[in-house]
Amino acid sequence: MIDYIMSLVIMLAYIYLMSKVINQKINYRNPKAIAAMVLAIIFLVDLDFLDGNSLLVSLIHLAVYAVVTKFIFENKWPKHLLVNFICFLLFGIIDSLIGLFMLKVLGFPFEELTSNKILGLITGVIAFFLIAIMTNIKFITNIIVNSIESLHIERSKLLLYLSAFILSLCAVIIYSTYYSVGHFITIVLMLIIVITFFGLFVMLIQEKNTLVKKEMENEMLVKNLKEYEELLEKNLISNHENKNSLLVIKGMLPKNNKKAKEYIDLLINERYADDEALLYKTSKFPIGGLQGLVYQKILSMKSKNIDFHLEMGKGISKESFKNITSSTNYDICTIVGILLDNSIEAVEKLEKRNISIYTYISGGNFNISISNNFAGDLDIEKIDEEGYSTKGKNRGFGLYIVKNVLNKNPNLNLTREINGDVFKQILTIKL
Amino acid sequence: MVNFVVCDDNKEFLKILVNIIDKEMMKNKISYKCHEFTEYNTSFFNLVKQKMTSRIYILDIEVNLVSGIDVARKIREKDFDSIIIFVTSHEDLGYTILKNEFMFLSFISKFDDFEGKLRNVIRKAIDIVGQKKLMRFESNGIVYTIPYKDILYITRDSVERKSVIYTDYSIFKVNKSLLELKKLLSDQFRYSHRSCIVNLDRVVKTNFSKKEITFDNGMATDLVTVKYRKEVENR
Repeated sequence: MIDYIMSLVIMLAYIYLMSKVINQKINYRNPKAIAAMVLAIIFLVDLDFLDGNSLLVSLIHLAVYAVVTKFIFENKWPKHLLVNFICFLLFGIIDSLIGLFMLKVLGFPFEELTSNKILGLITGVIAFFLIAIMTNIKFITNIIVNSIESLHIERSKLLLYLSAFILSLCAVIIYSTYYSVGHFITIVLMLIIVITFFGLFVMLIQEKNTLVKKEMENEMLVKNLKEYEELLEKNLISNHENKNSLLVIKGMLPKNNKKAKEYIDLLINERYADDEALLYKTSKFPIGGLQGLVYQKILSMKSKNIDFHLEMGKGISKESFKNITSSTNYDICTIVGILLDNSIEAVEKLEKRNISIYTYISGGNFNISISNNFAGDLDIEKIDEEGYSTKGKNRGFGLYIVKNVLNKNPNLNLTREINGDVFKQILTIKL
Repeated sequence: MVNFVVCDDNKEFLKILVNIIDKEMMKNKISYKCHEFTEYNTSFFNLVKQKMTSRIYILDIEVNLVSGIDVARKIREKDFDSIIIFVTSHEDLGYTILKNEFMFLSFISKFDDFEGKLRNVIRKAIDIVGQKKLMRFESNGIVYTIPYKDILYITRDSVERKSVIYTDYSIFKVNKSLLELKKLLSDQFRYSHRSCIVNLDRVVKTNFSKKEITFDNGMATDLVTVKYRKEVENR
């Protein structure tokens, strides 16, 4: 009985620690979570067949805790496993410190500590209280939470680490039990290793393919945009020439042909004036590729009846951008392209459709502000998470890519604001 | 005292603007002062930096090639409480978003019933100048600026440990406690339940027996208890 109480206390302490680390409340009303906890406690108490192999016992505890807490917190696997690993280490440190205190300060013999179940229960309860005190000190929780945030690992790398970890775990299990279990169990374990390895291998390949494909697409995009910009410049000249030609034709028309004259005026005053103004404004973008990208996105906005506003702040000269490297240039185009696509998608189904692009220099930095109106339920603080999207499955990777680009490039920074029903994202580029 | 800060590079038009302000302000007993500028120069920005209550900016959108939007951004870096009215000589639908983005009161065309529209906007500005009109805070690196008039009610999600702000257009989940948010709100916001704050200006019906508060856009909440009846009913 004591074994079960001890196991329950330790598990509750662990769950409490994790809830504090990930700042998520424990959902006790989830029947799956309760069932998982009960089964886990029964399983963990009955680990006698391992014959005191402490490393193996610890690894099994980690795996079981990861499964149970998955049911409780329902977070995504890669980050969940990472947090579990950190919590397990923290828990191990606390447990070891209590053990050392009892051994050296209180003078309990080592054998007594490892075999006396009452002492084990007391250790568990002390660990619980220590965790409760520690995690309610904001300074300590901030350190832990910030450490986890800084451990940002790309999904593919995380899968690689996890596959290595799982294979090591399986190897330890086989090593520990090779002589004590029959051939059948050994073969089953081997089979599990092979299947696990194969599954992870396929996932890694898929992940790698997606990333390579995306990178190739982005590179092609920038290359095409530069070609497109050259075409735009030619278009600006031919636009001007066409306008002059139309004026000449208008002058040649007989006085009574009012309809033709009105039509020419309409073309000159609306279509050509509109295109010229847009071409002229976007040509002021000082970064290669950005002009073509923004022009193309604005054309897309026009075709979707989105009201847009492009505002270029004063004092922006190409000279200020001479220190911008080609890789930063590429990163800027990637981010701006994704932000504009998201803005277009956010407004295109709304009744009110507004997007503004506003560039300005502030504090020696170049800023590109992209704003759109929005409506509906949006947990804006989660939008950087991989796969988070209000648009359905297999979406939500754009801002995750943006986050990765920002993590790699210290010259770029993205800030976000909500101003009423306007969502504003400001990309700041160090000059 | 209300401080009007007026800027237009056309001196004649500047006179017209000041004249309209005078005409409108003569009608009430509020003291006022006009600060006139023909360009966005150092003295203009020095005035922006000064601590001055009840400021109404009436600005030309483009003065000597300086963008009024740049000016508005700089004003908003200093304060969100002053009122900004832009006068423009060209229609642009895209201005609508800038109006919300920088919390401008209005854009007025110089050609379409200019005087009538400006006088209307000045009256509206006088009604709200000096009042705190919005809630501004930061949560997880995101700066939220939400006008009070847009908020219906705020609740606490105990599972996600977040406060949920219900507005006309969206629901915001933020990492702030109800108490922290309450401190940022005006007197029109009251507790109706220990985990709900309602905007009394938007409440149209309160039914304590049925435990329901209905808002002017048709939305309702059942987070209401008799304990907070006085809070909700005594304004």
